[in-house]
Amino acid sequence: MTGQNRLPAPNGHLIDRDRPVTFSFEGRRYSGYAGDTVASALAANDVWLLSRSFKYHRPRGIMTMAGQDGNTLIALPGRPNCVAERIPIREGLVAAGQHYSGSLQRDRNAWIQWFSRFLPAGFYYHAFFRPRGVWNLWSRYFRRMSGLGVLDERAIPGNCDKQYRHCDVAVIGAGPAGMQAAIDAARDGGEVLLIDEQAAAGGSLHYARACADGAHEARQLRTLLDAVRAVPGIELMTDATVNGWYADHWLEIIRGNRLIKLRAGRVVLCSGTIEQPALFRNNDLPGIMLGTAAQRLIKPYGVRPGRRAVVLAADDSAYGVALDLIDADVELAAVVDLRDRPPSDARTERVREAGFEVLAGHAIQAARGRRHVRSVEVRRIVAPGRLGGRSRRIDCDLVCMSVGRMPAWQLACQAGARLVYEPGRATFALAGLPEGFTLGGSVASGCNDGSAPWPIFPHPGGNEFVDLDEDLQIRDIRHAVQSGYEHIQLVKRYSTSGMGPSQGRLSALATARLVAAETGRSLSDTGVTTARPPLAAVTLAHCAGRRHYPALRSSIHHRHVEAGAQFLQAGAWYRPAYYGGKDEFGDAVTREVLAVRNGAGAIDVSTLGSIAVRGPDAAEFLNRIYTFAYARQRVGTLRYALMTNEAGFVIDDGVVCRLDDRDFYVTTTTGGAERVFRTMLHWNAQWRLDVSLANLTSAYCGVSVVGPRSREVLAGVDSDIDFGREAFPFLGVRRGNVAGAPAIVLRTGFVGELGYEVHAPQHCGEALWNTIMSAGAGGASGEGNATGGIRPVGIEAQRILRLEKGHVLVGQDTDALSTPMELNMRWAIASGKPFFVGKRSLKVHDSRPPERVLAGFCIEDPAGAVPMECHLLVDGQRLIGRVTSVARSPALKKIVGLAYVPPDRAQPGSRLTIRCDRQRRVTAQVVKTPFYDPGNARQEL
Amino acid sequence: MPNERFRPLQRRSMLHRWHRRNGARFVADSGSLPVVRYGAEADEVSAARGLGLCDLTTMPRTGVTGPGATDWLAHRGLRVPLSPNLATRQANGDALVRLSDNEYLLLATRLLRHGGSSAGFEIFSDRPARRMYALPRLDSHCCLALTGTMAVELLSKICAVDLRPRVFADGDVAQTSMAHLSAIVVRHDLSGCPCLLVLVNSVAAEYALEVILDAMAEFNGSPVGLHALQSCADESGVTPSGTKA
Repeated sequence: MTGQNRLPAPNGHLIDRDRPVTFSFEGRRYSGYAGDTVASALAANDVWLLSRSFKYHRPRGIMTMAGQDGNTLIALPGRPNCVAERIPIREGLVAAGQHYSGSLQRDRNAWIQWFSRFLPAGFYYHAFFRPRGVWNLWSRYFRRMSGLGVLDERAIPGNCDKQYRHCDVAVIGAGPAGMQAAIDAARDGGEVLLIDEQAAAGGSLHYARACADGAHEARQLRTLLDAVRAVPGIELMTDATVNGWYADHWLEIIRGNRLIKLRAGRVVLCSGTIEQPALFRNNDLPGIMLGTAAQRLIKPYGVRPGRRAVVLAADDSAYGVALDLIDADVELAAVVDLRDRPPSDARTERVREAGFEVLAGHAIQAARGRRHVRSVEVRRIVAPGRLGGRSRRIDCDLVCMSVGRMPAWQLACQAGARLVYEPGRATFALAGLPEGFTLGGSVASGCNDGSAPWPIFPHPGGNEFVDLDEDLQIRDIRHAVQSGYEHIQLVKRYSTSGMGPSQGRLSALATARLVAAETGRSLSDTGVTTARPPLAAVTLAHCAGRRHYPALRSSIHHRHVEAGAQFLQAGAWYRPAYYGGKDEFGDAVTREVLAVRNGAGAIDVSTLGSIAVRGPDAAEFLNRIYTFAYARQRVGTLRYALMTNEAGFVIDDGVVCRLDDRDFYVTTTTGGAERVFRTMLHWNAQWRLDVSLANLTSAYCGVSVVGPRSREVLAGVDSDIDFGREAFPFLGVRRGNVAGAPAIVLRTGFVGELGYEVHAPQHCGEALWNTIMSAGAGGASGEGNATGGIRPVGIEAQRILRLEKGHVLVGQDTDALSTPMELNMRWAIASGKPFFVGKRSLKVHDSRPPERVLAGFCIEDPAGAVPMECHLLVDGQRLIGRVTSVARSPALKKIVGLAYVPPDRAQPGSRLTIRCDRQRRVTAQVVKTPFYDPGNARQEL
Repeated sequence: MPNERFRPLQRRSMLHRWHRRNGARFVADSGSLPVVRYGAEADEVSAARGLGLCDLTTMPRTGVTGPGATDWLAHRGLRVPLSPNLATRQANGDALVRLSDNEYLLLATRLLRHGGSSAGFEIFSDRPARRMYALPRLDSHCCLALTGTMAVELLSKICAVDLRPRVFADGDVAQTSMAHLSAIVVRHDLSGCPCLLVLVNSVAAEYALEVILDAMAEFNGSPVGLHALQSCADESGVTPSGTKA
């Protein structure tokens, strides 16, 4: 036997008595059975105090036994705020209470409840703000005193992931109505997903007693479960909480460590009803629980919920509870029925016939006890919400409340349904459901006994808790209304009612009733607060899921790794930043720059976008897309390509290679490839030219061989291309075979040296790189190229090389409002063309004086501060521009950069003041670009 | 015209190094180097029926686009899918995938049944016909096959498209996103063994592999070689299910 409260079979059908399990709670070891939850196992061991309340540190225990409230929040290692009613025990599980000082039994902060009169809801809105700044002190104290569990920042959450599921019909709630709905839908031929938040399907059939015969539900459960298993097309998913409904029946489901996004053809909501608590003084003491909670303990878990019980009744299900208690050997002290004349029913009759006392027209005014209920005071109801007559004390250690229900409305309301109060049924009903969303079972048809008074009994001493999560009492809700917050939404925000872990499941109806009574409005007019996802707490780990950040790597990537490259991410691409140790940045980059200036370097340019533009209208298409002219471009040549958007602002650049009359190969920036291709597709759809576009970015790799030795290097590679100066001039393009790869070779000058870009099919990348590096390895040494060979060069060096040439890097030297004129690139605009994208806007821009110009600058003082990109240019206190690129040039041995400056400061020789870190100011001088090789002789060697 | 002086480079998968690290056995075949197995073939056949991952990146494939593509393909005797996002099995076992009105992808899936060479793909030269253009699909994409009864379940963790067999039948094609990556998914069952061909950007091959292996761990799936897939396809002796209308 594990636990003194364990009942014999047939109770406990969810536990396996052959598999005892040992776990600990608050440092003490307990035993339970496989299938037990922490709450049921502790209850079996007569442990009822599970947590302390949010604000007043009041003792709390099982209230719903369904995980619908915050009363049983416990801490597991690294996981605070776990619902003990949902956490299955396992061998060695270590659980603890939370939010207490000292011990859970003797919380040193429990004194605060005696001052609750002075701490009404929203008290912090009125006090603790003066003198100025004092709130910062108080807030620390309040936050320490109130709250839930403490997050363990060192804890690493388990791996969470996401899954996309689809089904024809999603049935939410695997109770009797849900199972029947699933069977019906599957028989109609649909794929059905039957979802339930509990560990086992069956819903109320596991615990409820709808008639005097206590075995009826068990028989019905077996029948339905057999049918669910037998009918093909039903998948049962338990332990799964449908946490939100979104448009087109998109459901968010939390199951274990997984967030499931379910797209359902239609939804059948069979979420049942939520039993509501009664409001009387100390209604939150452990031992006071919903009638269904007691039944859940007795039947599925085989736990006796107490020894001597009082049942508070406002409907007939209370008598089912009473009968279950009797069968579980609990002494039934009395049934306190709010109704003057409880209707006759087989269950009520059986209770009466057994001689148990039924106090009709009575209610509980208060419960007594420190950490557990020990007795209740019962009085006659003399008017709605008022008790009178002689008080009677009944000793008990269990109070079961069966005083009414609410439909589990949240998901339906998220889907757009409205809650409409029906006085005849004394409950809210759901109306205005969207198409494809239906209700089944008691969520649609459940009702309360309309003859019963509302179970709200204010007490002069208070402590009648409306919202147990937030420690809100009746006076807190009244106080909110009296403060002018009459609308239910304002009451919620002022009082925080419904904002705790239970999300108003147990408080929304009572709050609405209190607000209605206080404002004199009807319940329908008052309504309840808006239901929004998520329905239950969801961890950040669930939201994050798995880490999915696409990474693109060229086919040469592993050669860079082997060469000791340090990588940086450019969009999704991993590109070598430089080759060398992590602490060698400066030296490594300098070596690479000098290798290119004095010998040869190889740069992996596979990341550049490449697009094939083919067809009879290809030249015309490019003429319209780019600012430059391509109609008369000769085959075998390349031209610079500058792209502007319709507003005339620069968005990308690259080169256009004419391979044939109707065949162009276009390159773009690394980051712009997708955008340029999309832009081209967009315009092609508008213009309807006879052009075919293909994005070849991933199909082609590229190696740029640059430096005065590059021709020599390529001459050593087996190829049918003549790399000679005359045969292959600057801005030429050749097709041929390079090291076994069918290649397109471009003679470009981005870094200002003799250079060739070899573009080849991606699968050739590694072999091509290896061949080029081998061919270059045997050359004469040059400065910075001590090996005498070719050096792999990263993009950090490439950025300096192009800066030394004053070349603009789109995205770095441009922003969303950069025009070609500001960039001194008027030469790249063929204004004679009838049209290109952005031409009209450029004309407008050109008709106005520019506000800024990109100018080159240099700083001669080698000892001065080095500005950084985005440092500001100032004139006194006035901001006049910003630095876009800056670097210490290894070739020029000074600091060079580009900056946006006012046109009147752009003349060579102008002095600029750059504000650097820590307010240091550096003086720079405007100079003409290119900084290096102004005659461009080197690239045209 | 190809220059006879130069021998083409051997075609290796972008995942070649990963295969090598994981004990793959390669067999050179028609200029490519596919993985034929990692371990015992019988185990791999069993894995392929449960959940197998096979790298078919070196398997021949090509693409054509342009207004003349449909007529040209039909003229060559190929069974052209009637609408985009469908694939047809050709008489020799290859799959012709229609990606849009004028764009096609041809996969040499015959190799999954018979092995052998990629003869026939040379018809797709650089410029095969007027108003039609070749697309270098062999280099632009890598191709991974997910096989077995759990293949759909695995993809449901990284792809939002409904791939249930009832909805996404043999010959169906989805152009979608997989773990934030553009992907083409083709259902191409192997004689009753579910098989989903996943094509993603070749430069994202390692990322795709990483994501799939991560998702796969839950189902005890494992990488398998080409031989295991060929066994799955051939064993039952059932002829390919034919063309999807």
